[in-house]
Amino acid sequence: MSIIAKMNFGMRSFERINYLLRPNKSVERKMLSEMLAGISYIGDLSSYYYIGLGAVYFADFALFHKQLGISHMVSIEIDENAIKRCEFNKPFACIELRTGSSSTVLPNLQIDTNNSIIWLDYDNMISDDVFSDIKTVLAKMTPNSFFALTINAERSCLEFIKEDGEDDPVQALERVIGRDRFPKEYVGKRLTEKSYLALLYECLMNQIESSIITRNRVSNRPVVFQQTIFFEYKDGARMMTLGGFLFYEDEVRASLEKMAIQRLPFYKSGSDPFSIKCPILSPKEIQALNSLLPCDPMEDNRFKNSALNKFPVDNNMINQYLSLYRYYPSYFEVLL
Amino acid sequence: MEASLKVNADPAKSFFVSMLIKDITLRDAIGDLIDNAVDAIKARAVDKDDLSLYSVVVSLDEKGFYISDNGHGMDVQVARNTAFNFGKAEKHVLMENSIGQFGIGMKRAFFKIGKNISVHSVANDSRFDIDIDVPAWLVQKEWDFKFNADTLEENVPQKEATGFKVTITDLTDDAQKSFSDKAFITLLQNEIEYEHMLNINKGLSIIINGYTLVSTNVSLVCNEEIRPTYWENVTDNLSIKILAGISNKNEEEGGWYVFCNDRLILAKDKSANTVWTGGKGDGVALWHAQYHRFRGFVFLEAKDSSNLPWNTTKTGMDMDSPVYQDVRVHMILMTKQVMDLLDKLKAEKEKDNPVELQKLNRAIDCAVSNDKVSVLDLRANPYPRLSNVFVFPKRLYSPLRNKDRTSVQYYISKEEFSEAKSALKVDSAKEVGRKTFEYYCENELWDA
Repeated sequence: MSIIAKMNFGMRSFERINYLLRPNKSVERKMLSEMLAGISYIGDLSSYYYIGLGAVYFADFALFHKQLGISHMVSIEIDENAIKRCEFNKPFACIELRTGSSSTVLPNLQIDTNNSIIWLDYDNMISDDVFSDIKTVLAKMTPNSFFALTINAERSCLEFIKEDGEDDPVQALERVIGRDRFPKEYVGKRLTEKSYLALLYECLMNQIESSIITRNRVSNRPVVFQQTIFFEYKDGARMMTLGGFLFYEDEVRASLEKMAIQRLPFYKSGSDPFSIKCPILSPKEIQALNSLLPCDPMEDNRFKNSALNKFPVDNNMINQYLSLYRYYPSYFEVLL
Repeated sequence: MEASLKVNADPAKSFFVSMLIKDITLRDAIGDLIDNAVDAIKARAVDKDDLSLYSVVVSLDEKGFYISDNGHGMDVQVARNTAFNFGKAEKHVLMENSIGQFGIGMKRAFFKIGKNISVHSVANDSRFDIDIDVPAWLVQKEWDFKFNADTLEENVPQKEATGFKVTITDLTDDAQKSFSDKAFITLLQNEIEYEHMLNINKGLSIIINGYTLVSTNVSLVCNEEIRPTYWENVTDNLSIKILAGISNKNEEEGGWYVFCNDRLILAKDKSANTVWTGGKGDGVALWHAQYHRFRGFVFLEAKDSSNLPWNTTKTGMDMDSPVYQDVRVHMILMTKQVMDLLDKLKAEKEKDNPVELQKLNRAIDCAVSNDKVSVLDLRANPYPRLSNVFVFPKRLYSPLRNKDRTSVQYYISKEEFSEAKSALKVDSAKEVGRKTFEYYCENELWDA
C-alpha cells in the first residue's frame, strides 16, 4: 500500500480536508498572490501561464485568475478517477486539465517559450518525482518566471514510510530520498521537527542549485534562482513551501528592486522559514485588534501601541496576528 | 614481440606502443580504420549525402587483415607530417587532438592488429607505399616510418583511381585468435552495421568478409496526431539535433542512439550514460518493459571533430564534457515528454480493460504499423512538423476508472483449482476466477 493510502485509508487528500477551510494555507496563497503581483513591474503579468495541481478546489487558480488576471492556466491531475470531478469543479473556463504525473506532463508544457508561475503544491512527502520536477522546471523555465513547491514536512509521517527491517525513520528517509541526494551530515542522526525541515530545505536547494549549474554550463547568459519564500505551517500535517524567481544573473538586483518584494514581511531568501500560524481569535477580538492596526513591532516585550499591551489575549497570539492580519481568513457558515 | 627484440628495443618506444594498444579493443581498432576509410571517402565525395559510388572492403582471418577504400587517398604531406610521424613536436599535437582523421588512431590500430604492415596509397597527385616491420622498428633509434623509395611520387597527377589500402600480416596473438572466431566476425559485422548506419543509408557499401552491410533503417512514428519531440542548437562549431518518440515495441532496439558526425557512438542505450539512471539519479527510471517503444536520437556534428564530446576510442560519450552534460539535460526532458504517453499506454491496459476500449493503445499500434517516418527525413526537415513538445492524441486516453471495477483475490486448494480449470477448459487462474464468478452471476443473480 502506498504511504498516502496507509495514512488515509484510501481517501484522496482533497477528500480528507476541505482546502478552503485551511486557514494557514489560505494565508499562504494570499501572501504568494501579493508577491506575484510584483511581476507587473518587470513584465506583462496577464500573459503569464499558471501551472498548478488544482485538485477539485482550484483555490489557487481562482485567486490568481481574479487577483492577478492570469488566464492561461493548466492544472495537472494524476488521479484518473478524479478527472471528471475536477473537470466539473473548474471554477473558470480558462483552466486546462492535463492528466498524468507532473514528472511527465511538465516536460510537455511550453514553459520554455512562455513566462510562467508554477506552484507544485504536492500534498505528499518528498519523492523522486519532486526532484525530477525541479530539474524539469529549472531546465526549461524562462527567466522572470516563478517556481514554488510545497511538500509534507511532518516528522511523524516518516513512520509510514518505514519498511521491514528499518527501525529508524531516518534510514527510511534516506532510502526514499536516495543516498546520493541525502545530505551526509544527517546520516544516522535523530531527526527533530526542526532538523527535518532543515534537511528537506537542504535537499531541495541542492537540487535547485545543481539544476542551475547544469543550465548555466552552456549558456552565455547565466541565470540564478532567487529564493523569495520559505513558508512553514501546519493545518493538519506540517507543510513547507519553497519558492523563488528565475532571473538572469545580471538582472537580479534590478528586478528585485523594481518588484519591491524584499520589503514584504514574509520575504525569505535563506534557510530560516517564515512560520504561518493563524491564532484562533473570536470575531470580536479580530475587530478590536484591527482597529488598533497597523502598529510597529514590539520593543522590549511591549507593543508601541499601549492599548495592545492591555488587550486580553496572550502577547504571542497578538504577535502572530500582527504578522499576517492582512491575510487572515474569515469564515462564515453559509446556506447554499 | 619476442623477448630478444624487447631487450634491445627503445624503452620509450616499447612503452609508448604498449600503452597505446592497452586502451583499445581489437574490435575498436578495426572500427578506427573503417572510420578513417569513411573520412577519406567523404573527403572525395562531391555530394556528402550520396556515397553510392564508394566502398570499404575489409577481410580478415587468422592469417591476416586487409582493408581498402576508394576514397581520397592519403596525401604524401599528411603521411609525412602526421599519419606516419612520431616526431616530438607532432606527438604533442597528437595527444591534444587524438581523434583526428589520421591521428593516433591509425597507428594504434596497426600495432593492435599485427606486426607486419603494408600501406598503399594513391591520392590525386601523389602516391606512396610504406612497409612497417614492427619488431624491427622497435629496435631502431628513429621513430619515423620510411616511404618505400621507389614508390613515392609527389606533385605528379595520378592516373590510377585514388584510394587507400592496408594489409597486415604476422598478426598479434589476440588478433589471430579473434579473427579465426566466426562469432567475432559476426559481431563485427553487426556492430559496424550499426555504427555506420547513416553512411550505409547514404549509399556507402561496407563489405566485411564478403558480406555487404545493410543499413538499419531507423524511424519514428510521425503522423497528424503523433509527433516526435525535437530540439536543436546549431552553431558554427557544433550542431546538436535531438529527436525522441516511439516506434515498435522492442526490448532490444529501444533506447537512445547518439551519433557524432554520422558515426553511431551509443546504440540502443539503456544505461545511465544517457538518461536511465533510476529515480534516485539525475535521469529517469531504469529501463523496463513500459519503455520498449521508446527511441531517442542525438545527432552531433562538428567540422573540427575535437569539438565532439566523445571519448578518444569513440566508444562512448565524455560524461564530463559541458556540451554532453547540456545535451543530456535535454535528453532527459525529452524522455520524460515521451514517458507521458508510455505511462498512459500502460495505465490504459490495466484492470483488464478490454482491448476494444483501449483507444489510445489502438491508435498507437495502428500508427506504429502504418506511420513510421525515417529519422533522417525528420532530421533533414523538422519544421513545421516538429516542436519541442511530444504530441499524441490525449483525448483518446481511456483507462478504466476505479469506481467501475474491483479486483477479487483469494486462495483455494490446488486440487480443486486444477479440477475446475480442466472442466472450464481455460489456461489461467484469472480465467478460472472469471468463469466461476460469471457462473454464479448467471445462476443466482436476477439482474446480472
